[in-house]
Amino acid sequence: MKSPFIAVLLLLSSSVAFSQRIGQPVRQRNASVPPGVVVRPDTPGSHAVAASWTLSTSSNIAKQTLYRGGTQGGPYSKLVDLSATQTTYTDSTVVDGVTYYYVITASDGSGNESPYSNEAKAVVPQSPNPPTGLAVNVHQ
Amino acid sequence: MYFLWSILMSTVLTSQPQSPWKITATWQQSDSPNIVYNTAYCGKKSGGPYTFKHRFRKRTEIEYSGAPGGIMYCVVTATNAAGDESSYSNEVQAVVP
Repeated sequence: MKSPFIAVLLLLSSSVAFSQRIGQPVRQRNASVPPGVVVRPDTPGSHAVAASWTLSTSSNIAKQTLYRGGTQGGPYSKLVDLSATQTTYTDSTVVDGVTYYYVITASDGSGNESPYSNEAKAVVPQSPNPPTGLAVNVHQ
Repeated sequence: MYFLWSILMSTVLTSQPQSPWKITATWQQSDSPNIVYNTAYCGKKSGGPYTFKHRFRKRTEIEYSGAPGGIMYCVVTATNAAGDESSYSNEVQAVVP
């Protein structure tokens, strides 16, 4: 059996690095986004999605924004703003049994935001229901 | 298995010698499909951390002997064939004289 503490499920399609045009004046971005690795943290029954990506190759990047949606191709909702140099993020707000789609953008110092990167899919497993009615009897 | 369980419990939870007391734990199995394992977690503090963990094949009762004196708190989980583990069951307190 997989250890709940170290098991990692690669449930997404492979992340493929690609270049895409982004809004002016940001030049070009090489973004490979969220491999969408599903990991199990230390608490049984809960999951998190660990996303990682490659930084934009454009200069003057001021921040990145990670988006999440429930439908392939969007729409996406902003999940979190990240620093310009961050390349990983763990989303611990996911729900068991739900599929999520992640994209990321880079924004320059003037507030120009790139188009979305490639989309990565994360399928969060459905944990089984816990046992109930646990009772103990101490006897000789 | 029970022997191992007893030894580990005694070693991990306390350094006291084994007592004549036994603990029997029972529960209702998870109603989710394809359960293959249950795992018992025990510790000396309510709510965890549970410093001892023991996995065993699907069942709804386990007994171990040589329970150390004192109070310990235990929960169980269920794991399916895909390796997904449930959240903790209700926590129980075992008071061993």
